[in-house]
Amino acid sequence: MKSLSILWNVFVRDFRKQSGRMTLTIVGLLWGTISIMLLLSFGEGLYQQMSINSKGMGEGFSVIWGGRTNKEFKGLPRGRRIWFLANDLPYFQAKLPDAKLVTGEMMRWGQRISYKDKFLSQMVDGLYPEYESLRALYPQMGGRFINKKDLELKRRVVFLGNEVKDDLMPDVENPIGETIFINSVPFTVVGIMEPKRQTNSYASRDSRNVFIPLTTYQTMWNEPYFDNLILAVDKKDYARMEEFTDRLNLAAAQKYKYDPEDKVLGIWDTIESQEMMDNILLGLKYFLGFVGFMTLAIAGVGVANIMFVSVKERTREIGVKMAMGARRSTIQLQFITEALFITFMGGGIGISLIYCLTEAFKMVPLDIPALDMMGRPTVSLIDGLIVVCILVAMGTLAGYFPSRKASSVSPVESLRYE
Amino acid sequence: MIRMSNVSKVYHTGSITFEALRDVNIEIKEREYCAVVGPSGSGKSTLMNIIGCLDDSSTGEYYLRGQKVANMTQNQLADIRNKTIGFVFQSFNLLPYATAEENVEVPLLFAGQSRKLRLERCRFLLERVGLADKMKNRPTEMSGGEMQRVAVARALANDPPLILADEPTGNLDTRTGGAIVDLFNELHDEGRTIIMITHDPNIAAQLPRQIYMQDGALVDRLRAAS
Repeated sequence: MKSLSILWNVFVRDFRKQSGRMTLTIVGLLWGTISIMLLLSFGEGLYQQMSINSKGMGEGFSVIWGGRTNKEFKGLPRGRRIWFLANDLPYFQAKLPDAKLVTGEMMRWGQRISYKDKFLSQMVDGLYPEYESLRALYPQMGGRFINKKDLELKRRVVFLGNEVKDDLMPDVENPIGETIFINSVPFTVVGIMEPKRQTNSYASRDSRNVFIPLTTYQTMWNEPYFDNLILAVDKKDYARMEEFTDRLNLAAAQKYKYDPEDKVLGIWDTIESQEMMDNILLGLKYFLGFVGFMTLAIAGVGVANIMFVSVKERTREIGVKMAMGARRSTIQLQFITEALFITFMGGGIGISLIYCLTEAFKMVPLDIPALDMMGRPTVSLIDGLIVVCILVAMGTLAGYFPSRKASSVSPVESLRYE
Repeated sequence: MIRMSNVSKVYHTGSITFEALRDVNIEIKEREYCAVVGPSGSGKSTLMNIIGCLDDSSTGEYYLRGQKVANMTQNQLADIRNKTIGFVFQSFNLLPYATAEENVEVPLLFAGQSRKLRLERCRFLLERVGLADKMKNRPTEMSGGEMQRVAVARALANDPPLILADEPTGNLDTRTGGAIVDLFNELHDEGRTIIMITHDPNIAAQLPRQIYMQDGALVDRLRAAS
């Protein structure tokens, strides 16, 4: 405790005496820290934004669609069309009892949607209530998604993508309960989708879609076939998605008599593409962090240089201090403390500055499309900790080696140094 | 206070070896006041550095206040330099960026004294050496005599029983030097042991005991050559 207070007193005193040089070094470190934090926070913001965007379609499912057989199988010719019926759902659900959800949807492009004197040509999507959470189709305040009752009663209700609403009924404040027409058939609007950012889609953006109950869809167009099957799994099974799609393929092959090795079905595993996206973004973030690290490393070299010069210049002073009863450890710790103080001052100010900047930036309401994709720079706790660790390591190294050299020389030699 | 038997110091510079001290046997009692006299390169400073625990001997034994110095740890040596020995150098060796007060404070800092006590002690010592009005001055704003007074005050900081002075008047004119010697006389009267290297035969003659050195060895009396 006593030696700590000695160290502190010596440090404070000497530090004040050479504040000019120290300030310059601190500015150098500040610069380095700002660079690394800026790049890291930019990377983090991009990463978070892209994650949100790519999850806009929902997550944890595969989209499966039918195709034609390429091989002859058990006497059946090739080129047969394999397409799934709405009635097949119970069969697949029974074959995949451990899946979170097996469901399907029907789609029809270019349908005439009209409201009063306005009309649009849009895709109509017939689906089940489970799509709400599966595909992140959440209603805005006051509305709802298509429910079980709608399905049972084949109600003519419609859930609109928010852009469709904006185009079709731009001036209507409360569209819930309004009647619109799909191919001249009247439908009641029950909900408008909450706007979301979506970078992936497999037909059209959800914001431009018109959603109706699957049963109503079938009645309207007398349609027996699904366009897509959707296979969703629980979070714990994300890693096993391929196994689930293989089993579904096998079940389909048994039912429709084709070779399971024959690539008949189209499969889009969104988990896999999500992972790929994640990896690319993470790679980008690490790259940015590395560039920042190099900048910081240069600042670190600066600190080491300053400490080296400082020790060299103060060799005689070290000799005097030792003659006056300074212990080697005190001398050595003094230099390490100085180096650490410099790195912490520069680093601390840099990190706080960037943190305040990014927080302030978040509060500014900017409606720039670029921000929807790039996100806003964000300081994450982990990034901050990593930078702090780098600074500590740098400070210790920059102080340790010169001071070890200085304090290992005998006092006589230090005193003789000119 | 000090007992040395067969102490030698050999320096190796590349293939050249240089014997700075050879077989020095000496005993200095408490409260003694000695002058160490001899030509340049006779080993005076080397002897002083070994006595002051700033350097170690190559061979031989050195006892300071009955303790064998060779057996001490680095920290013990540091504490001895801090509390038992006060150094005064020819070139003052003050910290250039620090004020007189801060220079005197250095040994007190390493002794771990409280700030209040440190400031009191600095004031007291600087008043004592006649520099009460120069406490906040830096070495560059002081004359040589003043700087040496600061150095003496610093040497006294932890009230050490032994004062080692390596040509304290070497960089001063006769009058200023005389005043410094007077200061040492006072310190001796207070009961301190003082060992002073000097080139000045007049100063050496004033002191109760003279130690003569030549070619790294103690001699009875300097030969006519010098």
